[in-house]
Amino acid sequence: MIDTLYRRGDSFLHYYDCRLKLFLLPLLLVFFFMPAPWFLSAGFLLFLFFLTLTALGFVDLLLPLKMIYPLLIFILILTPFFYPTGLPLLKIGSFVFLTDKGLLESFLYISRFTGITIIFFMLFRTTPMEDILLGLSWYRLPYTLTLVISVALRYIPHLAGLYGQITSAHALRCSVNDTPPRKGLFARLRKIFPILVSLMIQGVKTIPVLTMALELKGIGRDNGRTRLRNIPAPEKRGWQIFLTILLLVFLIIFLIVFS
Amino acid sequence: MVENTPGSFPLLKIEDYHFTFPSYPGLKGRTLFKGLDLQLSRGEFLIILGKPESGKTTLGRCLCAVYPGLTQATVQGRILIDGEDISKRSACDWIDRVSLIFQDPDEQIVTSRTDDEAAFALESLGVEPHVITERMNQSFIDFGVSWNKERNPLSLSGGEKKRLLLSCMKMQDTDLWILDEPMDELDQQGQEFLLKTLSHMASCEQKGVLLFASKYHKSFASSSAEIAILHEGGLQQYQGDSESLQILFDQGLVPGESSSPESSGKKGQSIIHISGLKYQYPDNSEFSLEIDEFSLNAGETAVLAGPNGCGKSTLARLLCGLIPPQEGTILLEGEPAGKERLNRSCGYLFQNPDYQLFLPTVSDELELGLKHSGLTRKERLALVDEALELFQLPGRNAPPSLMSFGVRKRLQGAIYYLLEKRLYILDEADSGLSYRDYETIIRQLKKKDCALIIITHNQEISSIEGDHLYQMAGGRILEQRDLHREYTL
Repeated sequence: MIDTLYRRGDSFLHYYDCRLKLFLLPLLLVFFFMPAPWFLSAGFLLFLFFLTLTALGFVDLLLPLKMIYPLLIFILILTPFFYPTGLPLLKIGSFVFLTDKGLLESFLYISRFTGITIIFFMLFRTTPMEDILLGLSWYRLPYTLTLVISVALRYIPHLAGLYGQITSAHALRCSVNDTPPRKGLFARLRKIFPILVSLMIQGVKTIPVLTMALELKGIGRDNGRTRLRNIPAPEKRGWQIFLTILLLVFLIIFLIVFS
Repeated sequence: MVENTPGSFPLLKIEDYHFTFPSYPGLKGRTLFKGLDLQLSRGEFLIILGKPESGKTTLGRCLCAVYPGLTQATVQGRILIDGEDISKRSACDWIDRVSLIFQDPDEQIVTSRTDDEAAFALESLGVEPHVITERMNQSFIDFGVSWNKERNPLSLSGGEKKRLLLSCMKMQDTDLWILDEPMDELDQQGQEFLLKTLSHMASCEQKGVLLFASKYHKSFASSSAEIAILHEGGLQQYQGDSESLQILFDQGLVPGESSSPESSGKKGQSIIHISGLKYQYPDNSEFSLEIDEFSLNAGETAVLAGPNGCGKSTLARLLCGLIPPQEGTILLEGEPAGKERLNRSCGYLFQNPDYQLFLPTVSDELELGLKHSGLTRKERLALVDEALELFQLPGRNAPPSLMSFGVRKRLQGAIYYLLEKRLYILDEADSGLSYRDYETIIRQLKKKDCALIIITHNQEISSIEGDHLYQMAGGRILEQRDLHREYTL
C-alpha cells in the first residue's frame, strides 16, 4: 500500500546521517526564498545538480525534472505576464509579452521550484522512510505526527506506482486487429483520462483500508511505543557535521556578500 | 462477581449477530449475517468456508473491531472476546488479543522495510526491542522469511508477502488468530506448512484459530480443523456428508469437471515462442529470470507453477510486453514482437480488476474494447449481450463501481473475452472468485482460438484445466509435463 522513492545505494548521501539531512532540509529550503540575486540561486541550483549527478547519477537527476517539467513550462509561459514593466524583450503592437524583469522572475521561480524538488528528491531517494521517521522522532516530534507526515509523503509515490500499474492494465485493453489509435497530443490526453479515473477510484479506496491497517497495528493506543531500530550511526559523523556546518557557512557568506 | 479472565469464558463468542450494509442510490443494502452464532475456545481451529461475497471478510473485520466502524452498517447482537464485548474498545486496543491477516497483503503492509513491518505491532504494544528481535528471528525462520530484512515488502511476490504477514502474526502472539484467505498466493509447500502450523498453534499453544476460505476444501478436509460453511447469513457445520458437499457444490466451492473438451481444439499454430530470455529487476539483485525455451500453441493451456518468488509473474509481464527483456527473443506467431504488438496480442488478467474499470456502466466497459474493431454498433451490442450472458453479469446498465468484487472480476474476464487476443494470462486470477466463477472465465477464454497460461498454486485447477505443466524455481523452468497425456494414460 505504501511506496517510497528510496533506492538502496552506496553514495555518500546514503551514508549521510538522517538527522543532519533533516536539519539541513528546512535551512536549504529557506535559502531559496532569501532575497538573493538570481545568480546565487542559479549557482546553488547548479551545485544541487552537480551533487545529484555525482552521488546518484544522470538517471536520478532526470527523474525529478521529468516529474515537474510541465509545471516549469507553465511558469515560464505565465509568469512574464505579471511583470509588464521593465525592458521589453518581446512586444506585438502595444502588448508587451516579455520584459527583462518578467524573464528574471520566471527564472527565479523555476530555480526555486526545481531546487526545492531536487532537495526533497535527494532526501527521499537516499533515506529510507523509516529512518526519516526515526530522525523526526529524534527531534522529539510525537510518533503519530511523524507517522502522519511519513504516510502523507509516501502517498504520492504510492499513487505514482499505482499509476504505472493502471497504465499497464489499460495498455492491454486493445485487440490484435484494432485499427491503430490516433497519435498526437490530444489523443494522448484522451488516453490519460481513463487512467486518471481508475487512479482516483483506487486512491480514494486506499484511505479507509490504510486507516484500518494502521489501527490493527496499534496506532491510536495510549501506551508508549518502543523502537526496534535506532537511527544507524554513520562512521564519519564528525566529518558530516563539519561538512554540514561548512555548507551553511558558505551559504550565509554568499548571502551577506551578494545581497 | 466473575472476573473476565482468560479461561473463564470462551475465547470468542458471537451471539445472534446481524449485519446489514447501508443502502446507496442504485444499490440496496445487503444483509450479510442473520442471527449468526459461533463459539470458539482456546485450542480450537475452525475453518469457515463460504463463497466470495458471503461475508467472510466482513466477519473477520467485525471480530477485530474495525467493523462496523465507518461502514455505517446496521448491527445487532454481540461479539465477545473472553466475555468482553468487542465494541467497548477500539480495534487498536484489541491487538494484544486478536490479530487479523487481510486477504490482500498489499492492503496491510504499511512500511517499506521487512523488519520494520514485522516489528510495527509489537512496537505499538511497547514490547522491548530485544524481545521483538528474538521473536522476529524465530518467526522468520518458521515462515521461511529468508530475504534481506531491509528489503521493501512491496518488492516481494504475493506469496512472500503472505509469509511475512504470517510471521508478523506469530510475533504478535495473540490469543485469537483470524486469517482471511491465507492460502491464496501461497505455494503448495507454504499451504501445507500453514495448515500444520495453525493446527500446532491451536493444539499446543492453545490459540483460537479462525480461517476464512472460499477454496481448498480438499486440503482442509484432511487437516485436523473443524469446518463450517457460511451459508445464507448463518453458519452450518460441515460433516463431510452428501448434504454438506451439495452445499459446497451449489456455492461453487468445489471444482467442476475438465473444460478441455470445450476448447477450440485447433492446436498446432505457434502462438508464442521465447528463447534465451533474461530479466533482472534493477532494485533486486537476488533474483534473475532466465528462460532457455518456452513455447505454446493455439488451443493449448499451460499451467505455470512453482514456489513464491520464482518468477511466474515476471515471465507473464514479459510475455505481455509490460516489461522489456534484457536478453532473448519473443516470437509471436512466428515473428519477433515488441512492446506494442505484445500489448495488443496478449491479455493479462490482473488480480485487482479495478485497475481496468473506470466507466459508469457494464455496457460501456464491454464496448470500449470493441471501439476500434471496425464492427457496427449493432454488432458490438450483440457481442456485449453475449458476454453478459456468458459471464453472468447483472445487466448492461449496472454500475461496475457498486458491484461486488467477484462480479467485477467476471466483468474483467468478459472484457478480455471480447478482445481479440492470441494469448491470455490468468495470474492467480482465482483470488476472490469461487471455483465456478473462475471456471466460467477459463472456459469462455478456452473457446477462442488462442493460447492460455494459468498461473496458480491450486493443484485442483492445474490438473483440471491444464495441457502442460511448467514447474518453475529460482527464475528457471525446471520441468515440463504433459498433463493431458498423463491423464489419458
